[in-house]
Amino acid sequence: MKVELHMGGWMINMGLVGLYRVFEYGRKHEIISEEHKHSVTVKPWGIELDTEVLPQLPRAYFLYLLEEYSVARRECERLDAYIEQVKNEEQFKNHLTAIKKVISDTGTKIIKYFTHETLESILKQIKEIKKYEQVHQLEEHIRTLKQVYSEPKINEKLTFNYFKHAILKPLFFGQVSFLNVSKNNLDFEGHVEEFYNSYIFPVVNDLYLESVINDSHSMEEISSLLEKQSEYQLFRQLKRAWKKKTLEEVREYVKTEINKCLLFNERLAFYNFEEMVFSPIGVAKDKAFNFSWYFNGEQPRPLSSLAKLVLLFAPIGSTIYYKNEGINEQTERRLYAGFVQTDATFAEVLQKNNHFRELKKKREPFNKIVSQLVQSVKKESEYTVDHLFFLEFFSDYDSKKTHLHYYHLPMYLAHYFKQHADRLDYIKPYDYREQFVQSVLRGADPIHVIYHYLRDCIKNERSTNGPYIAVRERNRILQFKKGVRDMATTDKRVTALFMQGREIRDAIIRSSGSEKKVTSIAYRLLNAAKAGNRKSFMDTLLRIYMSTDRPMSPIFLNALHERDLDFATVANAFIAGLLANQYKEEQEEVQA
Amino acid sequence: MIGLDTLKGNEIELDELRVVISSPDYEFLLHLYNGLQSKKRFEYKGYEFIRRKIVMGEEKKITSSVVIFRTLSPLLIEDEKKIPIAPDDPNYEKHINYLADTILYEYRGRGLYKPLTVRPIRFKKMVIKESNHQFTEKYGEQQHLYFTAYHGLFHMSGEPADLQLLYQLGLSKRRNQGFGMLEVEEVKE
Repeated sequence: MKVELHMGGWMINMGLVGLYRVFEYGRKHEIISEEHKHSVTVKPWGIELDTEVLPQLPRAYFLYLLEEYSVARRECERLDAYIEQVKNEEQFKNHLTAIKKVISDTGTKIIKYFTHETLESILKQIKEIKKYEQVHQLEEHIRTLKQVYSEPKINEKLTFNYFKHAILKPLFFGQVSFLNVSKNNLDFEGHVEEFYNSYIFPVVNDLYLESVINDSHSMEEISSLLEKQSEYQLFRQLKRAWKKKTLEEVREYVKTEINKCLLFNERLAFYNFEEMVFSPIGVAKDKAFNFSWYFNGEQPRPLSSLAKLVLLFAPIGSTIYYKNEGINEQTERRLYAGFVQTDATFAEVLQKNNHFRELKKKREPFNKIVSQLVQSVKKESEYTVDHLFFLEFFSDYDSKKTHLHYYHLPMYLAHYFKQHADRLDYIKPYDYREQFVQSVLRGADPIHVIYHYLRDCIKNERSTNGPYIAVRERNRILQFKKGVRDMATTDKRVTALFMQGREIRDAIIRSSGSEKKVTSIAYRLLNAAKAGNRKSFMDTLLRIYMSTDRPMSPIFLNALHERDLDFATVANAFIAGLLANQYKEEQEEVQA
Repeated sequence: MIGLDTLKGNEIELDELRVVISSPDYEFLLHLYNGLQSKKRFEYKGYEFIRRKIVMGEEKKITSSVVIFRTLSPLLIEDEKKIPIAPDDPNYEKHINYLADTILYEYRGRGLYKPLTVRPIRFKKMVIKESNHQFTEKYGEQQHLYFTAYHGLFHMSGEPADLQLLYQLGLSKRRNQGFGMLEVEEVKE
């Protein structure tokens, strides 16, 4: 039977992309049998699915995850990296401690599940290694360890644990079906079976029931189906409810009593959209009062088994990556799921997300990703670009917490990124760039990032080339928003302010001979700028100029009337200049 | 302002001259500063001035509604008929209010937020003798303009924002001729 799976909101699109990826993977690795290799086809509106292939999906699903998150591969790469470091004699002691910890951590995890003599003896022997002379011994042990990790049984167990407990459960589903702690002892086949029972089996039956209700001419067919699959809880209920009904009455019942699916509108919904289906935005069924359907407090939002299945593929459709949240000391590393959503055809959604995933895997910074994804911006595709947005969420099932960010990409930003995104690379360290780009994408002013950044530069005497670029790029974005496309004049103004800052810096250092005075002035100016106190800023500025006995550029008047530049740009560009150390390489970069 | 040394007839002999300019308008101050920067020598009526150092004075922040002002240059208060009003005149406060209201209206497009009350602490009468080229053309070199103004200390209350602006702008007639510059002696809590 062929079913149409239409694209919709980002949630369902994530699932569809995931489903397609799993199918493709299965087809390539011959997990999906030859006769079904055309069962999933891409259509402009989504996916056409032949339900015959469904029973083969669970196996492909787990094998896909097994490959994607292979712990053996990750651990081996890690060990390779460590062994390189350990070869450095001076650093030997430090790295040895780290490497021992990594090995014993993974080792204990394995021993928890398997008795493994080789591993145990290696763990013991590694403890004995203390001197640099033993480095060859260590290398030898690591070689053996890599083999141990790569043993299919061990890799499988550790990898399953990882993607279940680090990704699927906290980010997407909670403790449902094979994710429940009671299913921890299941082996590979056990997982496949559990998947089949709780997801595939209902879909197959529900779809069959739908077709029988629509096509059959007598009640017998329906009754015999319900009879045949009596181990399906739902069918037992329906059997009771439809016992003495005629075909017409049953059809009427279906029409009036059974809801249609929230995500695939033509499907019958026997399930609900709740926490276990998609935990980032789902709510437990009996607590979802404000999500009730048709104002009926008893009925949460209806969902078909098919939609439930598709959502199970969401973790594979999205891109999973670590992200630092917060600035400076308050950063927290969190696992995020990201997705690129557009109004384009399914093929394009798929392609954009594959691209997104590749870039993330290469650890490309966000601005690069954005600029690459909008490379195809052309006049004729403006509509699509207008509707391109990024979405990412962090979710923690146990603490019932979700951070969901939408990053819209309006036209002016698309153009900006296309032309200037590589300039943002000068914003270092990476965290500031990421923050900068994300607040821009969120439609917010990145000015707070710049304030933090400048403060950091004053405190840690970092090069202020980065903040200067940040100030300039922020100004460019503001100009783009206003519709200005030629940056020559306003860039010149920003540069002029930066240069003014540098000159004053030189003058102060020449007269006082110390950096301290510059630092204190920079702090004062920064505080004034941050507080939006134009008067206090101008006051300080006039005093500096008077003390150095130089004329003050009228460009500073923008701090008051903001005719050509906004106050923040004036202030921050000047401060960045004031803090600039004069290294040669910097000057080159500034010309960018 | 004048560091007074010796008076020789109609001339005052000085070693140096300090000019204080006060304004709430940074734009004006910036242009003024840049102008002074670009010109170091000035000539005026055959006298020569060399600009030395430019510094920014400390401006006090008026945070309460009561302040004591000291005049840095005398206040010139006149009534509708241009007759000078002395601080002990019962209408003095009324005229000060009218003047302050006009000054603020001119600067920010809105007059006083709250009427001022003025209480003189100590005032000294001062007659200013002046001339300008228009007056000289009409009446000759020998004739002079005389302004009866008052110098001293006084107590003023009103809206802090008004007081701050009056402090920056000056409070008097003929402010651009140097009348009416104020200094905050004390901000009462």
